[in-house]
Amino acid sequence: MSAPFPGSIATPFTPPFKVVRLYFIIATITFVFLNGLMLLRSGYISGFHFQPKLLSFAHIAVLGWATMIIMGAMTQLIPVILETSLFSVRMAKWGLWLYIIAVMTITGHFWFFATKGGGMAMAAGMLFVAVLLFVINVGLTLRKVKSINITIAHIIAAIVYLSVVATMGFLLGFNLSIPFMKGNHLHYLSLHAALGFAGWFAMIIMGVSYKLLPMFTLSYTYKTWPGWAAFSFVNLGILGIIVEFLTNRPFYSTVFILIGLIMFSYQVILIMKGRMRKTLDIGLRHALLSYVYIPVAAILGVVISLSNMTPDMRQRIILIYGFTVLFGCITLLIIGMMYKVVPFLVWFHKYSDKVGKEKVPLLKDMFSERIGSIQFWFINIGVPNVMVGLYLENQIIVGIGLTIMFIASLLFGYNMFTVFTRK
Amino acid sequence: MLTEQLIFTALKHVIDPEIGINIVDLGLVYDVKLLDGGDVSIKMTMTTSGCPLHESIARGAEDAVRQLEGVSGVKVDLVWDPPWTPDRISDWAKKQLGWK
Repeated sequence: MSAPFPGSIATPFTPPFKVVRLYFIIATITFVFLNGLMLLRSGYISGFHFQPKLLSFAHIAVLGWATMIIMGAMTQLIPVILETSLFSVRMAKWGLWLYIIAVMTITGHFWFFATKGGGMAMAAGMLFVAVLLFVINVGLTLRKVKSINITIAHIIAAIVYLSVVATMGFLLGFNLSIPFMKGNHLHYLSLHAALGFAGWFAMIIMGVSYKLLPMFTLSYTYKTWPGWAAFSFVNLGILGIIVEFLTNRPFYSTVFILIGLIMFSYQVILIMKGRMRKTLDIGLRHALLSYVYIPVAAILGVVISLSNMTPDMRQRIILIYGFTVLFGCITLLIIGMMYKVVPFLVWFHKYSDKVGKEKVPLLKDMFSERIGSIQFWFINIGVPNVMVGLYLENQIIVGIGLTIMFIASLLFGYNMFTVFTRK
Repeated sequence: MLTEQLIFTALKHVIDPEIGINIVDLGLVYDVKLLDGGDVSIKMTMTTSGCPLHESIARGAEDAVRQLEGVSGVKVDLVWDPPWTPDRISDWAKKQLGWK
């Protein structure tokens, strides 16, 4: 039986290595910087979520780290999945530089809450154009798709949500500089964040997992209906979020998303049960841990939207929810996939011509598994530590957790540096 | 003297870099034929279809066999029918993959 989600991660259609490499290197540097900044300014990770430093942290994480990695991975993966060339390598290259400048500008404006003088509007506009370039590039590449499989369906949905999230972000940034929106800014912000998390990130995490997880675990015989059920429920939930936003009436959107993410977890279990590779390497261990955090985050989402809490408790749960999504779900999966994809890309670039002629390293030899393992446990302790600290509103516990996470980010950065600088 | 067994041994030096197991024990090599005049014909597959890592492994197989004394030419046919199944993995390789 052939693999339900077959494929590999490099083809003659893929863009030049030096272009994709840039996305990964800059995002890794941003990740270490973010962890250092959160540690140095840990006192700001508390209280009300709409405050300058928290907005800055969140946008460094979602734009400078997570989205940048996803953009690099998609620039590499989509031509592979479609077996066609990227629409424009030049657009990917120059779009990245515009994106980097835009992310630095907007997160700087958030940090100092520099809303006067139109700088925020300009930064938001620049970011919108950079994201639009990426969306157009991927969209025009996707135009060549012959049949829609589960991964393609998720990627198309993710790209649509990214466009909406970027448009809303642009309007919100513009509104901070030159107010024009009717009603509460926070009402729009909640939709922006919800579509970012449940739309853009969830769709990408799910779609990419269906492609890479079977490939890396040699899993070939499993049912795929839970994956499609998950897709339907999460999108129904997102539709509900929009209905709730427009009508101010409850649609139980978070419950649909929770059901969808439980179906996703079931699909992951089926893939893992059918795998031929029983041993879990460092990349897969990270990915599996992120899949544990996904239902946790979804449950927190339901709690926030449906339960009656004191405003203080509500703020705490919102902070824990945001932290869980960013560092439990998204970061762990990204780190896991980077341990698989980055060594492969470098290996392919340096050694693919030497197979059969001389001894070439295995992918796991491209970095220190021991350091990766220590880093895994550091992040494994650091993330729940911060979550507990946020719940107890204890800055010492939060600080300890962030210190552990910063060390983990350094170890991860070192391992990636080892891969990229391999002679 | 060049034999099919020797060719299989040479192919065991071609290792899938992600899995860390050679292509013979993974069951990717379907058939090896030693033809007249030192020509070698290899029929092989991959665990999944359509990527140049496959090409680099196929080229690696060709280069590994070409280095053998007495080989004048090597032809590698990458086939997808019959598709590869995990049943083709050797017991040794299964152990390497963590099967008890």
